[in-house]
Amino acid sequence: MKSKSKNNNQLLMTLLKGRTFIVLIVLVIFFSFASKSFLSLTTLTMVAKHVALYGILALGMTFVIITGGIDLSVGSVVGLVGMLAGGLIQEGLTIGSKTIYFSVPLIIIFMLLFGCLVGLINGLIVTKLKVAPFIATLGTMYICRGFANLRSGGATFSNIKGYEGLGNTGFKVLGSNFLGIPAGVFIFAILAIIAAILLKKVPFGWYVLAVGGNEKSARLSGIKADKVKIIVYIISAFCAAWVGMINTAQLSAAHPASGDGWEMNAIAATVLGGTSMAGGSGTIIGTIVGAFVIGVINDGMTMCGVSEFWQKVIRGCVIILAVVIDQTQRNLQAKMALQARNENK
Amino acid sequence: MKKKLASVVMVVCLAVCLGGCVKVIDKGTEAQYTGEVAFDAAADSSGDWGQIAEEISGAAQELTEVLSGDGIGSSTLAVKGSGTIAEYIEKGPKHILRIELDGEGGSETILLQIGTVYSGTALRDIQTLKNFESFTNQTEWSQYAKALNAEMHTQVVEPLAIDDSAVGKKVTFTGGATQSGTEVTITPSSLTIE
Repeated sequence: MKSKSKNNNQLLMTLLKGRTFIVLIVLVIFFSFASKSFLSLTTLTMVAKHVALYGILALGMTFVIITGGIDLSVGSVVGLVGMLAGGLIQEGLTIGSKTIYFSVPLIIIFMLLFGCLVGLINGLIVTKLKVAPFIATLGTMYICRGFANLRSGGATFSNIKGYEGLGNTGFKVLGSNFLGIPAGVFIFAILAIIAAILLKKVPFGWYVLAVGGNEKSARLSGIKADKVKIIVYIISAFCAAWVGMINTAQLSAAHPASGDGWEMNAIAATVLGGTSMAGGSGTIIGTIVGAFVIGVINDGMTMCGVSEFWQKVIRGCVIILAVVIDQTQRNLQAKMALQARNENK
Repeated sequence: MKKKLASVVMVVCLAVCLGGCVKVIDKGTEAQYTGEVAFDAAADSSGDWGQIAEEISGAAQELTEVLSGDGIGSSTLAVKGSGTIAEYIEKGPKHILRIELDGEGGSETILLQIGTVYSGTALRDIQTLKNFESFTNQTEWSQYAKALNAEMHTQVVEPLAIDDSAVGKKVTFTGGATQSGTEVTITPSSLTIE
């Protein structure tokens, strides 16, 4: 009797661990029946583009959430970086009577450094000023969005292409396709590999997990928890800076409202991927699958004609369900561990 | 010592690399490098105004006839008419004349904008000299509409120096009209007050 119950628990546990992947397969099958063109090359490329954007944001968010934090500013960083990059290409940087135009590689470096600066500010507010991550990043979310609007007075930088004469062409490469695959997907893949190595194969990743699991113990064991937290916010904003540039390059335009609400997609992808909101656990592969689920849900519903309002309702339900299932998995894990301990006794 | 040397070499390398990545030009001379002329909404609208005013004058329909027929609906129409100024309305920087039309005008409230701030893009929308395709983007298209309103204000409204003493006087107008419910708002392209 006990053995049967144990087997059932193990089966349930396996299903729960693979839940996001199962959901992804079910969604793909569902939408391929619901919309005939869902499995077309054009649609899949479009889904891949969106998954890459949410996925890159979610990679950074995974590190933050594992430490028990949250980063609400990423969507606004996307918008601000897009505006800064677009502005630098279109208008350059005017100082006095001179205007400086930078080459695209230099602009990319500047934007990534700018992202890191925002992350550093977030990290310092959280660790040194002891402000709750939710509040700290909520503040920077508004600040970044405000600056994004201020950059152009709310207007769009359109037709961002650069000029040969000014030596600033080539930005559209970030939004182009190579062998039919969007550049964003390649960047997502490279960042995902780096993130996976960072989280699982490098001491820093273990420190991140340790700080999220039990910060006091981590500190007592010599881990510089504040430094770890600052770095995860830098990683998160660094990822957001990439998304800001890719998005701007894909659209050939920068709008101050770009990335509005994308932090929610990133959080949803991370949570769906099995990262615990309480911190201490999470995987990059889970986050990647979570990003695919969010991308497929968003684009699938749009293709099926579901209104934007209902899409929000459904996304909200999916997030709540994911957290509930995550909690169930944790309870079951604890129960199984207890059972195993009793059996050993 | 080695570290310092390496740092100096790195800084020099970086400076050399960045030197090729940066172009410094005199402010406002972009056109020499891009071959594109910077958009100047004020200059465009000023140059176009004469033709646009003439076009609106030629295309204008009698407002009383329009209102007694199908009405303006959701479109923007070139209209003309005459009437008596019934009220001088001030809404911050927006000054408006309420007009009682001569003849059968229906139950609509006729409001004639006299600036200095104008709502809407009626003048731009009824002219055919330029369309959206003539501009690079939405922002320029929008700036052109504002600049046309400003040009009209300078050319048409400002010389009349209209104030609340205009109430009771006779007005003749041509312009672009839009309708929202029972309110008809006219942005003038020509105006006389007697």
